[in-house]
Amino acid sequence: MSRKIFIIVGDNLGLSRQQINYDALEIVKFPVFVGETEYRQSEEYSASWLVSKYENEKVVAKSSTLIHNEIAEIVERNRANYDLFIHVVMSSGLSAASFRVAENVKKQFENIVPIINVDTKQAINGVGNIVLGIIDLIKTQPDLSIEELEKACQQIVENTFSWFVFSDLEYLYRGGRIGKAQSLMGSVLHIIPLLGLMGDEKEGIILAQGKARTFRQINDMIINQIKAKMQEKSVTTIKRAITLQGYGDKNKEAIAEFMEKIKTLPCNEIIHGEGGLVDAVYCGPGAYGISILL
Amino acid sequence: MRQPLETDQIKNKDELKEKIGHYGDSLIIVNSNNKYKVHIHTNKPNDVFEEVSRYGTLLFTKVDDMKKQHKNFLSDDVVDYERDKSIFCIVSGKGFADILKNLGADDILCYGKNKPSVNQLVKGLNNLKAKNVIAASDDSDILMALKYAASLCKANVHIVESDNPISLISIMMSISKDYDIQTTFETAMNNLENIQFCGIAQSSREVLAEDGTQVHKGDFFAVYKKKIVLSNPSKNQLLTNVIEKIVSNNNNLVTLYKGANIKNDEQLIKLLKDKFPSLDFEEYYGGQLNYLYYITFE
Repeated sequence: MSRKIFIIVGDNLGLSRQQINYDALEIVKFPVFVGETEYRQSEEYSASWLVSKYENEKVVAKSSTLIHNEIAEIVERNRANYDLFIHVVMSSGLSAASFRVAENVKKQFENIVPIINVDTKQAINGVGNIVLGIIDLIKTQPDLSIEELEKACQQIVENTFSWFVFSDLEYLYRGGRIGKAQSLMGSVLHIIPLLGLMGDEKEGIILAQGKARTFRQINDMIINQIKAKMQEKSVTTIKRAITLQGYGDKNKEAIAEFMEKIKTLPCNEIIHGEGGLVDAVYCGPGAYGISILL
Repeated sequence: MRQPLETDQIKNKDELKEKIGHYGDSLIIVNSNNKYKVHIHTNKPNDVFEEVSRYGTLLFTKVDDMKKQHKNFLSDDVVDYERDKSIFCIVSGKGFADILKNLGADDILCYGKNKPSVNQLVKGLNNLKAKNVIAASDDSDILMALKYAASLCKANVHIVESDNPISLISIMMSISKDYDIQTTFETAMNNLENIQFCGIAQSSREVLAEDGTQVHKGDFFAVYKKKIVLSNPSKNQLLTNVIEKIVSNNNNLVTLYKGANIKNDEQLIKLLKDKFPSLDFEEYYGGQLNYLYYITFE
């Protein structure tokens, strides 16, 4: 008999609930602070709401870690109906606290219900890609043991790669997420940095993947790096790509050109992600990118 | 030097030894199936590579300067290396120095009017306290001095044979701090000519260009791919003509790097933007002395 699995994920996954075809899943909303006031994703407080505040009011926004009790409550509420929980967590290299919270919840339910915490080494649409990859796995291989599932989830993590173009690295910097890409800040020459989260890198931190002077160059650079990664992994077709876009009107032309370019990649499915409020905290206006699952 | 070789044309170690043994000494060959790992001390590493390439595929190569290693070993000087690798740029213009520093160069020797001496270069290279250095300059006339300085300093110096500041920007745009020294060097070499550019200067005498273009004394002229391609008595008209001639469909950004002898001309960028509305224009201070402007097309 196949296992009944419930998935928990934070709302920094670059996808809306409607884009995930799996009933037993709950998205936990990250607390977002603009000044002293806390907000959660809603119809009113969306990514575009924050981007507009960034552009017009020059506000500073931050997010806080997922709250332990909220995750524990989800497990408690559902544990009678499910055999296993999978908590898909943003990269511990970007937020050690988030992974610690997930581990504490796992400990709390030790001997009550098993929980797999998946350290995605990703953020935003990279997390979304791993969630969809795990759902595929559950649907296609329902009889895997917990150990086998854990191992398969790890393989999905190692085969997920994301590239991001941020107009302004200040948003990442303020949120303490900039990692080794800090070297790209403060250039005299106007440069467009290319950042990445590579599933096969141990640290799970944002790495500089290149820099260019025009969006056309940066778009070509992403496509070439994707092709190189496919070659490196001996993969001919991308299983799934999730795009990141829609943070205001900035860079509209560059994003449109990029979306055209990704259509040239051999890919089974391209999903245009819908980033939420917490994603916008770090992306800022005009951000875009792509996550691929090989 | 070390070099793994994959070949089906060589039957055994002795056959390979016979073919390359005369190039040097301390030859060690280890083999497994059709793969041979070769270690040899030689004064002609390139000749060895060429010879073995005839018989198969070189999987990778590694060349160390044994004379320098020996000299460093005997020397009483103690170098406390602080970094494994560094990027060292040698430029004339202060503006380019700032740009390159910001793009990640570890140190810049900004020489202004007078080309640097070998001593200055050695000092600059040693100051980096790096085991390996990638060095590149904005002028081919500095190359000889740089090569000599490299032989005198402690570090293993990999010289990128660049001859203009735009190539240095191109190098810095293409490399990453995370690369190892070999990848950094190869990437630098492969990306030297990524950015299309031309230089704008004013003629101090009558010149007849290769293609027959007559440049009168006092005229402005454009140098593209090391040739004079256009001239005009009006600087602004020349800039317009150059952009018309060189810009292609692939370009959407034109950058002007102002030389040390150019006065601020706020109207120039506005004029160019009006003339070419589909292009973006940016202007930076380069501080170079040889050209009034470097113009890049990206």
